[in-house]
Formats: sequence, structure tokens, C-alpha cells
Amino acid sequence: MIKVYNLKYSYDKKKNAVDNISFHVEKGEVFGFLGPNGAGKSTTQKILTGLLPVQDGEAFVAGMKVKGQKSEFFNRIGVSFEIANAYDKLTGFENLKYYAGLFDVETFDCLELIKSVGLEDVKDMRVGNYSKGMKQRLIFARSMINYPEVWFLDEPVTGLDPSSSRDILDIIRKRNEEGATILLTTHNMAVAEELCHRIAFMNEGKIIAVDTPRNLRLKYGEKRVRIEYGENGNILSEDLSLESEEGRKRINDLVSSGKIETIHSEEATLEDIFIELTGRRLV
Amino acid sequence: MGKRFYATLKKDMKIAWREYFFHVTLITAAIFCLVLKFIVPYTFENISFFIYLEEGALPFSVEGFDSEFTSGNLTFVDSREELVDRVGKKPESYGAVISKGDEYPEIELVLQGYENNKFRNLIELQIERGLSEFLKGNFFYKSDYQVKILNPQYGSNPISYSDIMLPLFIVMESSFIGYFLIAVLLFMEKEQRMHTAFLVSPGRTVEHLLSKALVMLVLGLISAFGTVIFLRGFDFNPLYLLMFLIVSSFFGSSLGLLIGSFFDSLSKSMLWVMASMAVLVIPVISYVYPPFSPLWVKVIPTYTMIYAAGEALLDSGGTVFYRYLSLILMEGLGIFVLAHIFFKRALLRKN
Repeated sequence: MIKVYNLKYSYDKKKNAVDNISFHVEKGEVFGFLGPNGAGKSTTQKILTGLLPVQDGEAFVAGMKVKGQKSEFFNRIGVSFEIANAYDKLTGFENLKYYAGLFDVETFDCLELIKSVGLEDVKDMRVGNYSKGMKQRLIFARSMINYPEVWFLDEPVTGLDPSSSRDILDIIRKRNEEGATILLTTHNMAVAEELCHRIAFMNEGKIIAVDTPRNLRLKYGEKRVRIEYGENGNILSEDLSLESEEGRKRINDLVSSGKIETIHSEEATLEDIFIELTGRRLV
Repeated sequence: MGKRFYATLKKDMKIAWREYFFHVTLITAAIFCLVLKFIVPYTFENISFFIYLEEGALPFSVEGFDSEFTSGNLTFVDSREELVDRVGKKPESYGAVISKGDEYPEIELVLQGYENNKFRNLIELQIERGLSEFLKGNFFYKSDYQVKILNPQYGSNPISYSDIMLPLFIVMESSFIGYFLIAVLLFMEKEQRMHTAFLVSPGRTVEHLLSKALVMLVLGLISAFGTVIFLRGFDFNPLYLLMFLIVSSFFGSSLGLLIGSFFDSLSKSMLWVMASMAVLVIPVISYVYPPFSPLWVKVIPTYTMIYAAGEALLDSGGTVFYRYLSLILMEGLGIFVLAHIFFKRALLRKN
């Protein structure tokens, strides 16, 4: 559904914000771009949605070349932005009605849509009076108004309370089950881990790893256990690697001593893997 | 296209209403109407003239009055002091003291004090004419010239101040509402980052811009028709005025779109708005003072627009009117194409 070949983009012609990346996203897949700010995730999404021109390389979305897009292209995609943008002088409902009117394809019932993101009670309130979270939910709803085949989501739950985040994540999963292909840009590893079938780590404009979350953990994560044990009336704990001779020996010693109180397997998080690969944190 | 344009137009109308564009338009038009209707005298016919005729000032006797006597807008009073007093109490009045001279009677004008030379001459002529008519040609007024009417279709009704001022108002207010307000709409959209949402929709920039121009046309129509009907009643051809407004408002809006595409905010554009407006206003001087009409002033689009507005109101409907309209339309189209190109570039540049 999305095919990208040797894509490059530079804002200043000195440094590439996107540096020769290639990847593909299958139909019905949730593909996540994970990386810190400035990694090139949003720039890649902007190129794929036509907000930035293709400077070098090739990209195809929904079978159409991403260059000189026509209205058919935009009828088939949806884009949710990280920074909420809506007409302050219009109500939430009016914003959706206006946007629905721009499409040539079947669109959601605006009332149902605004209900689905929990804004029913404030649908007739001007967006200028919305909180940041309300605006975020509104533009999320707007992004799926045309039942997009390819849905671009940029930090869809940033700034939302846990309950609203849960609602949004459920909607994303539901739309994916209905067949939408999703390209998710985030630095929230929990969101990426929960939703994405595959994840691409981006750093300094390059894709440094692409795989399923499980494979990434298996490939790059270290198998470890955390053991709590009692000694001289105190509770002590140790993180031990199952992959090193020294770690395994220490575990055996503790098991033999009979002092162990708890044992937990310690899986590597996506952030751990990212740090291992790049030496940088995600946030 | 129809559905998209309708959705965009509906949105722009709502925003224009909620940003008080309609209110401001109506208030501006109302102020203009009230000033012309009640503060500036409608015609010379509404101005009162007081005359003090000294005994023996005229070489013949005037029958019909002994003391105060009124005929038309001429009022004869009993003394110079009374004349000065009454002129002083009524701002829309002037006076003349006619006294005996060596050969001809002498006329001393009593004015309000703010009149320029041109206006003083007009008053002088008006008093002469009035006296001559009243005295049935026995006075010194000599009609030793003939008047040939070149355009009899214009009629011979006296041209009022509002007739003179209306084309200016229609051009500078009704046609150019879009120049400021459309730029304000664009800046507001930029501030709210709506261009990014628009760019990833099937909406087309030409529809996006034309919708705003149409809102401005509606504002212009309200302003112009409201003002003209209030001041002149239905003594004009609405079709000509409509045609003029469609073309001139499109020009004004296109210019506003061009400014709005170049800059990010009203404050950044202000210098250019003021500078371009200063240039566009120059033809007003030529209109008020026709001897100042060099070629460089005539090529400023507002020059053509002011005279086209005059033609529209005079109901001439001649080839001159259509030639003016065609010229303004071509200029407007050229600017709109430029605005469209720059707007698209600006949209992409902002990302």
C-alpha cells in the first residue's frame, strides 16, 4: 500500500532530514515510525501526504505516485496532525461538516463521528473554546472522515488523558480491522508496541531497523531476569543476564542458596533497543 | 466541484459573519450615508441664501417686497447685521449684501469661513443666477453664451454632492472591501494552520480563493446597493451596478489575495498594504480635480474603476462602460492568476 524507494529530503540543501530511506507497508498493516524529535519521521509523513515535495527518490501511496497528486489521491488518504489545526470560529461540528464537503467519496456521518471521539456535548461549541485535548480529538476524527484507505497518524494521543487515549487507540485498532492501512508516527513506545505490526526505528534521517516488535526484541534485546533475595535480614535485588556465563552462574548460586524471594523476567523495551542501536533516548 | 465550493463558501460566510465583517460593512455604509444625507448638503438647492439689498442699490425698483421676503432659497432681510446674524446661525447658508456702486451694484459675500476659492466662485454664480431669475433678467447677469448638451441621455438634473461622492465610495469601500478583509481571512487561516489540513484534502486552491472573493462580493453588494438606494432611491440601473461590482470586487479581492499570499500576518503586510493603498488613492485626486490627470495616474486601475462606477450610476451603459469593465476584468484576472500561483507556493513553503 505504501512503497518508498531511496527517499531523500533536505530543508537547507546541507543536511538531509530524510536520508535515502526505503520501506514498504502492506495493505491492512499498522506501520510505526519510532524515533526522537528531529529523526525525520514527520518529514517522511509530510512527503508521503504531499505536504512536502519529493526531492529525490520515489514514493507510492495507495498505488499512486506521490508527486503532483490529484484529488483522487486525497480522497483515499487521511492525515491527523500532531499540532491541532481547526477553524477557531467554527464549532467542532461545523469544522467536520466543512471538511466532509471537500471530499468526492462517501464520508462519515459527522454527528456519529464527533460522538465517537467523545465530543458530542461540545459539538456546538466554537473550537476556539476547546481545550488542547478536545482539539486533538477533533482533528483525529476529521482525519478519518473519508474512510481513508491509508491513514497517516502523527502522535495521535499526545496531550490526551488516559481515558481519551484509550478511546482513540480503540478506534485506530477498529479501523485497522476494517481494512485501513496505517502509518503511525510517534515517539511513544507504548502506543507503537500496542498498535504496530511492524516498527521502523528512525534516527538522523535514516531507518536503522525495521521489524515486528517481537522480532526487534529478540534480535536486539538481552534476555534478563530480576531476582530479589534476602540476606542478613535485608532484601536485595540484582539484574542478571541470561546470555552471559557470569549471569547464569550467579543465578544458579542464588537458586542453590534458597534465599530467593521473587524472580521476574526482564524484557527489553523498544526504548532499550533504540538506545542500544543509537545511543539516544526516544524522548 | 459544486459541493466543494458550496462547503467552502458556507464556511467562509460563517467566519466572515463571526469576525463581524458584515457588521463593519453595514456600519461603514451607514456612516457614509448619514454624512452625505444629513451633514453635507445634498445640492446647492438646499443651501439658503440671505440677501440684504440696500436702498437704491439697483438702478430700478424691485416690486414685491418691503421687508423680509422669501423666494425659493433666497431670503431678503432688512439689515446687514441681521444678515450676518442669520448666516452665522445656519451652517448651510451664505449671504450677500448688495449696495450701490459707481456704475454697477457692489456685492459683498458673507460666507461661513471654510470655503475654498472654487467653492466661493460657485456660490457667487449661484447668487447671481438666483438674483437674475428673481429679478427676471433685469439684473447684470448676462446669458451671452449657449449651452450645447452633448449627452442628452444623462438628463439635466443637477448633480448632487452624493452623485459626486458615490463613485468614490463604491470603489474605495464596496469594491475594495476584499482588499483588506480577504487578506485578514488568509492570515487567520495561516495562524490556525488550516493550510495543512486543506492541502491534504481534495479541495482546490482556486475554489478556496474564489469562495473568499465571493464573500467579499456579497459584502460589496450590500455596501454599494444599500448606499445607492439610501441616497438615490431606485434612480439607477441595478444591472450596471451589479456588473461593475462583480468585476471591481474581483479586482480588489485578487489584490488582497496577492498580499495575503506573500505575508504571514497582517502586521508584516501592513507596510505594503499602506503603500499600495496610497497609490490606489491617487486617482481620487484626478476625479475631484480633473486637470490633474497625467498618463501615469490613468494607468492606476482605480482611475478606470472610479469612472466606470460613475458610468454605472449614470445609467449610461455605453461602450465606454463596457470598455472600462473589460479592462478592470483583465487586470483582475491577471492578478488572480498571480495570487493563485503565489498562494500555492506559500502553502507548500509553510510546511
